[in-house]
This record gives sequence, structure tokens and C-alpha cells, in this order.
Amino acid sequence: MLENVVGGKIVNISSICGLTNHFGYTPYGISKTGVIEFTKHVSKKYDGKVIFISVAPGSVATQMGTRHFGGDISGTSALTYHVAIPEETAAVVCFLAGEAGNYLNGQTVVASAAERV
Amino acid sequence: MNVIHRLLKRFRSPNPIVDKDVYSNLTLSHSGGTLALSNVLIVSNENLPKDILDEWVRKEEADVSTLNLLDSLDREKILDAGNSLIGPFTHIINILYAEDNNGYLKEDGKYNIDEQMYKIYQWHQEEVDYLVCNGLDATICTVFIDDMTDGHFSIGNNVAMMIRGLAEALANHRIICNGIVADREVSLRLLLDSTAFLSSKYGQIMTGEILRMRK
Repeated sequence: MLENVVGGKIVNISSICGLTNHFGYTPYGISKTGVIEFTKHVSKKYDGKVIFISVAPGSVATQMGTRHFGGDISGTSALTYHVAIPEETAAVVCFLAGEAGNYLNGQTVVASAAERV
Repeated sequence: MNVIHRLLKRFRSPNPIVDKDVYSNLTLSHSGGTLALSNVLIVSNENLPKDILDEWVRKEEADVSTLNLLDSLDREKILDAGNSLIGPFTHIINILYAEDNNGYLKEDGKYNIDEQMYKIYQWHQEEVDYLVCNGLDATICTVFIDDMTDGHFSIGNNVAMMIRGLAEALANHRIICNGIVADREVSLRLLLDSTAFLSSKYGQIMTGEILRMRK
């Protein structure tokens, strides 16, 4: 992006596990915290020429989520009382890749419906 | 009951994960067409430019009413704003510009009821009462626009914490609550577009969250 002098935005997918402790997910949480911190540091390094934002979704109805909630998609740990579907997280990424992302450089946007992990 | 359901391998979800609604195909919409034909109330403490509002309404195809208030909000003002609409408001957007008459105490030692945080609490109290009484799925999105001074910074953080707490309480009433704290460099057009996203179906997973938009 810098070589082509076009700038741009990079949205990294982290996880709510990178911000809170969650039994059984320690290595996963450490790697996701790494993503969050990496986003903060590179955003400072490139100083707005390229925008870096990280998204921290909560439980999403994916194969990995099955380990956490089995077949139960009632998602009682989230305020919306349902587990998010991948399309919802994708919508947040699209939103951040738009103009709004210009003002959120280096930030972590939590999209977990205030999930209580 | 939950044990029986688990034994039968039947899981109950209060909010179904599959959305069967067919939304309008609006390519310019920031809400994915989910605000189309819904009643939206925009409450602000400053006059919002009509051209920007009209453009937003065209994009979202929502039925919008605006309220410009310098003082407290009450139920009658909300009902009056919705007189020309069919059905109650299901989305409320607060756009609050930071004011300068802040400070919890006046010079004479009395409590300052004109303090902005007090006003924000009061507005939310009325809005939440209105939405809970209607009993419909609803959203409240609050935008606080500050001048980056210390006093405003403190109010912005107060708003963020209030929204976080409200979101947890209102989730049981199926009301989504989120918001934005921004500085004046962020255009109103972009803020309105962002509120459209946060108030939409896709903004539900952002409940309890505040976006801090700073240049």
C-alpha cells in the first residue's frame, strides 16, 4: 500500500478472548492479544498512512464455537441472547473498512454483544 | 425445563439466529436496508443541517422525526414528534454536542441541574421508559461530540460507561444500546451514517459498545 502510495486500511480479526480471560482458551487468548497489540504498534509506526484496526468478536457460530457452546446457539452469555453469525462480524469489518475507519486508527472494536466470558 | 430440553437435544433461543425478514435493497444504505420504513427519532441539542438529514433519510428510507432540545425531554415531546407517523418509534438517535455549562456544583454551592451529564441521563431515562412501554425491539444510539477539553473528556467517558450499563439492563427488554464519542473534526454526515449502522440489524453485536472516533 505504501509503495503504491494509495494508503488503505487493514482490519485484523482478534477476539474477545484477547481482552478477557477464558478458561481453556489461554493460548488462543495470548495469540489474539498479540493481534491487538500488533495493531496498536503498527498503527503508530505508519502514523495514519495506512489505517490499522482490530475487531474483537465474541462467540460466533463457527466450527470452533462448537467447542464452547455445543449445539446450543441460544448464546446466553451475550446480551443479544444469540450467538453471532459470521455475516454479522463481516458487516462490522465492512463498516470499519469504510470512511468511519479513518477515525479509528489503532483501536480495537469489540463486537461481542458485551459477552460475559 | 432446560435440562429436559437438553436431554431432548432441543435448544431454545429467545432471538432466532435466522432472520426471515426481507429487507429493502438499498445500495447506499449504511444499515443494509434494515432501517427502511422504520420510525426513527433524532434528538439533538443543536439544529442539525437539513440538507444532511434529508440526504440521510433518502439513503436509509426511514421515517424520521427530529427534536431539538435545550432542556429536559418528556413523554409528550416524544409523542408529539411521532404524531405524523404510523406506529411508535423503534430507533432513537441522540446527537449531543458538548456544552460549556458543566460542573457538578454552581459557584453558590448548589447542584447544577443544567450540567450536561444530568441532561443526558434525563433524556435516556425518558427514552428508555418510552421504548420499554412500547415493548418492541428497539435501539438507542447516542453520539457525543466534544471539543477534546478535560471536562468534555470526562463527560464522554461518563456517557460510555452509562451506555455500557444501560445495554446490560435493556437487553432483557430487547433494546440495543450503543454509541459514539467523536470530536468535531468528524463530519455529521459520517456520524449519521455510523449511527445508521449501529442502529441496524448488523449493529446488534455492538451493543454496549462505544466507538471513539478521533482524528
